[in-house]
Amino acid sequence: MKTKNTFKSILLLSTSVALFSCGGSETDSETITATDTAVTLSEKDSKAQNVFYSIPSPIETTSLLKAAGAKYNSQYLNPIENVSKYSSVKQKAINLGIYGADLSFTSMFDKTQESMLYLRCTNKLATGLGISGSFDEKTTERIEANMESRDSLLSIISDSYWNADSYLKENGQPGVSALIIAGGWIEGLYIATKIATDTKNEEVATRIGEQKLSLDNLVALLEAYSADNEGVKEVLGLMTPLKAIYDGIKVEPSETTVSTDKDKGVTTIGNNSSYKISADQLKAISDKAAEIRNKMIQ
Amino acid sequence: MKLTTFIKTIMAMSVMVLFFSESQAQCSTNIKKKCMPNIAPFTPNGQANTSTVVAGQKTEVSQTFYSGQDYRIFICSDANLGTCSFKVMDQSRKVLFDSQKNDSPDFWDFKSKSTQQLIVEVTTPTSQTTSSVLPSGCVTVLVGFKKDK
Repeated sequence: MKTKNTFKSILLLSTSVALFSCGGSETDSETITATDTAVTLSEKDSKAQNVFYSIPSPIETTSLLKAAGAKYNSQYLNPIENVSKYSSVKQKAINLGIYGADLSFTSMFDKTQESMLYLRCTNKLATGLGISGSFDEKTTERIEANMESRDSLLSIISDSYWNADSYLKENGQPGVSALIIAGGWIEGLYIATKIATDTKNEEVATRIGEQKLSLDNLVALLEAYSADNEGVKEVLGLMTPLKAIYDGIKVEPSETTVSTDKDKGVTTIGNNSSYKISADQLKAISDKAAEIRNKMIQ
Repeated sequence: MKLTTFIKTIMAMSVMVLFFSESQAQCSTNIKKKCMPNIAPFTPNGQANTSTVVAGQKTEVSQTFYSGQDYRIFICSDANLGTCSFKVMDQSRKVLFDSQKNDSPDFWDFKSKSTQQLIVEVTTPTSQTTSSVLPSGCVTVLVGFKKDK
């Protein structure tokens, strides 16, 4: 009798725990982890893996563009007036990424007024998505207090990206996070293609060719969430023709070497692969990037 | 006897499910407090590559590293997992850096001479426990960049 009661209590507790864990705070990644854990518990030697596809942030992309000699042009950016048009979760997420990239661009070129305007756009969209602790009033205050220090500014923006990404993953919305990343990436590519086309800057063109690697990761990231998120599936559909163009860029594999300067304590790694692209390839990428980006900002 | 085993299994599963629900939510917060400062003076790339793992599990991050940039790869994990090791590999999985062969640091700084895709593989130590409940905790891979000077 006692055993039966204990059994019932445990069963009730188990059900409660299971129901609790299936509530609003459950995430896709938690589901994966729970599955992995079950496997690990039953097969101790199993080496289940958690695989992440990481995309360089728009801050890094704009940093590369500036280093390549790019000049600021506000015409490249998504007009701030568009922010009121975005009502669905998909539109808000993609354009949070796009405005975040624009904010990175204005901040990188020390455009204080524009940065504040783009920060307000990201603030509005992040609030609309229910993301707390990211691109919020506190962020605005921190940015205002650090307007004179570009490095601090970029760190704060990067911090906001991290907060948004982790908040969404923790709250069962990794697909929404993938949309933000996709928006930021396409805006970075769009700005780069505009600069390369307008200024004939070959270094920028090569940086565009190098996006072949990041696009592979982005597509893998979108594929991971496309079955559960219609918006991700649609964006994946937009990216596929762009990937086909990039797949046409042939890169000869070469061996990666590692060298260490023991006096300076600096290690350098690299290979001889080149991502230079032809004028035709640049045009094809530019046209497709503009087509995708313009669909996204509508 | 069978019923006792069944009850034990359910209890273990309940504890694990409850633990993972709580621990995953706390992962990012804890990691941010504990680890983010260590990425300085590099700028973090803004993505939270964080997962809850059990002893012996691997986590892998694939990312593009650009020419002319300095990078820091920083591995952050909960203490109860023990010292995590990590390898940095190229696309053919040739090992470029192995923390276990370099006094087990939790980060690696390098200059990227060319633009390349690298894989960071983090391994949590295998548990020595005979219990069916393995040690578990958070692991994150932080990547920071700065312009090569």
